[in-house]
Amino acid sequence: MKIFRWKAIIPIVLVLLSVAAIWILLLDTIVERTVERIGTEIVGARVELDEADVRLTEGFVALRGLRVTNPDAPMTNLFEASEIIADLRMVPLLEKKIYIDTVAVRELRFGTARETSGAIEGSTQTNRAIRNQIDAWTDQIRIPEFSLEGLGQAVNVDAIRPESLQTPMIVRELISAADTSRAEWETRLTELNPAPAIDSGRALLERLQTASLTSLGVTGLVQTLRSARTVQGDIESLAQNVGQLDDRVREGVGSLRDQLNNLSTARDRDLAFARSLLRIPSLDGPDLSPSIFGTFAVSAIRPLLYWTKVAERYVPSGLDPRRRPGPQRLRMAGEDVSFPGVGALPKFTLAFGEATLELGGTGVSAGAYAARLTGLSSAPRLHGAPLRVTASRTAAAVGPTDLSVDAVADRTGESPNDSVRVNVAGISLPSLEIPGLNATLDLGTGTSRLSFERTGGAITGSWQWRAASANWTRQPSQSAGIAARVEDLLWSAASAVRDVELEVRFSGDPDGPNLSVRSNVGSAISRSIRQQLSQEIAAAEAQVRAEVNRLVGDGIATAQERVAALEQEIVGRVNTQRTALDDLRTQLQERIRELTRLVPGGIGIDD
Amino acid sequence: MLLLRLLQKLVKTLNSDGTPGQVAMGIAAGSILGLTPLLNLHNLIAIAAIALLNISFPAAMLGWVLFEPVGFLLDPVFHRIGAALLTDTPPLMATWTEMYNTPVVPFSNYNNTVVLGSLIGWAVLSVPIFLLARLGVARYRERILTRLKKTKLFQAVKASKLYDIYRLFQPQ
Repeated sequence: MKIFRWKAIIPIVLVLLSVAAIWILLLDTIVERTVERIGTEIVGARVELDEADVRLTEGFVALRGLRVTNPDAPMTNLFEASEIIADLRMVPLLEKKIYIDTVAVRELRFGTARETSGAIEGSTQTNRAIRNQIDAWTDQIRIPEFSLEGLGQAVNVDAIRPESLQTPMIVRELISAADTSRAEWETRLTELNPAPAIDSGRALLERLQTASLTSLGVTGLVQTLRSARTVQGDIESLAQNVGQLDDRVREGVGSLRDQLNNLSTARDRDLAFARSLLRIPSLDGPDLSPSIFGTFAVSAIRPLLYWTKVAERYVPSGLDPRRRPGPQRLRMAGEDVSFPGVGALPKFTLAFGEATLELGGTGVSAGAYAARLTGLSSAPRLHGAPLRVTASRTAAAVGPTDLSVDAVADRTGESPNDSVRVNVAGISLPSLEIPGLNATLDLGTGTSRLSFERTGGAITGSWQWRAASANWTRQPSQSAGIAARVEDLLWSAASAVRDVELEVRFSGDPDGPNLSVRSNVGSAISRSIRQQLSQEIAAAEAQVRAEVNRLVGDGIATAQERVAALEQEIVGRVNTQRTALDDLRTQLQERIRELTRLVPGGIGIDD
Repeated sequence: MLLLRLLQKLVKTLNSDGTPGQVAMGIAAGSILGLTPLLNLHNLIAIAAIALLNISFPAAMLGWVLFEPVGFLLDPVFHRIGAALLTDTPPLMATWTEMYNTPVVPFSNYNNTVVLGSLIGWAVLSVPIFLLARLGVARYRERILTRLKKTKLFQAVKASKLYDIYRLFQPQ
């Protein structure tokens, strides 16, 4: 029987040629869909491409009409480019790798409006994981409330409930711990019962004081010493046990003392909590900035964290295998695992890219800009050079030339080492709702300065906004009486600030950095409050403090008494017994040694 | 009807033999198309092999159809097998890395957990599939086909195009 069907070769070749022809015919569409699919996966919002033109024989790729949605504002494009021309190397394609020598981006525009939402249903796997992390960070941030509702009202100290305070709970635990310790130590001391042994030892010591070789003879003295040795052993064992108990008691009492000392911290926390219940604005200037701009600060930092994490995922350090979602298909997608190998090319490399853009209008930002990018790679360690991005204004239509971007992402080592500096002037800054004042702060046109550093697993940086002529608008107030008067005063103080400065600082773990917010608006409002309301607030605070002290003061005093009594009684008793046993042991040891020397040869007596 | 004609033509064109072994080999070879994700390089090779080797081509198509739903069902298992081999087996890392950076090989998508897992799954299952199919076809021809031929339905089917499919299983 024949093994091969040679007649099948022609149909097979025809089928293969057909497949190849179809692939070539559909290549543009395949590239277009691939760019959209991978872009959407990376960005977490819709990425659209009007047209792709691929000429493999020339290593030429043109992408036209690229629109990348801003994942935080789906009706806005993060950027759009009318044309992207790439010069592609052919040989790496055989390894399914993309190596772009140069890319030129034309007519790049940022923040353009979209006709339809670019949000995607659900979210991509990458996007979902990152968003969950950032949401968790956002949820744990406590923005202090800024409200004037409490002012002008009689301070209602009944709102402060003992069960909502931490100190009474800690006091109860402390007293319970003291009682438990006392019972345990007393039981142990009773079990050891050193008094009879001490009396017996003292009686023996007295007998040994009068004992001598002449009075007892050699045999009598040896027998006496053997008996004394036994008692000495018992005393030493007992002294050791009592010593251990004494150490434990001292350690336990020390711990209780530490807890007592911590009660003042708990009381301070309770006081702060009680103040927050009464919504008394803090007199401390910087504290008001987080209240006023906290929400804005979080919303500003969220995209920064998002893109930091996206970069971490797609431009990672090191050469470990990486898992990514597989291609969408009817069958389960699975995961694609990449295996960057030493000496091999990365999966994706963009050696050099250049973009030009022009901003029209008459604002200070109008003009021509140029951006350069080198060393973008999916495996920077293989590429061997850090990613660098620079951008600057090449020609200013109006105003000074003051746009600069300088970013370096060095992931050629085991851990990332990144830095970003962005200075932009003449951009539209956001409008902010100011809680408590029923006011809106329109920052208008201003400057923005971002500074970001990442070294290993820690980030640090700041983002500053400055508006020289901010506009304040106020909604009709719902407040009445003294609260309305206070609101008017604060409005006067805040709206007088036209040159607004706002700075958000962040540092720590990229998964959950610490935030701090500072603004001259917060300082101005704080000063106004201090001037106008200091007496009223001070009285309210004193009332709150008195109520907190009343609720927790007795408990603290009881705890102090209980610990002091424990220290005085148990520690004293145990220590007395320990001292008595130690003295007795020393004296017995000394006397036994003296008498042992009298026995010729020390026969039978171990010294 | 188009499919039936195509099958008929393919059988004629490829001059398929119809021994139980050839049919079973066809089903086992065709099962790779059903068990593994279709649009991959290894399936192109599989199709070429099915056409080129003197095994039953229609049986391979039957194997594909039969094992397609099995493939869907077993995808989670294939994913686990693939993930274990690709990421949790350090001795294989050097091989995967070498393959990943070798021209053409990456187009096999072996680095996809489902593709690798299903390929390994097919390699393991192909032998029992072949043995069971050979046994099944032999028994069918001995016991069922003889009786089936006498039924009116069979006579009717025989007169129709469907009979061409049955011919595939007849001994030459």
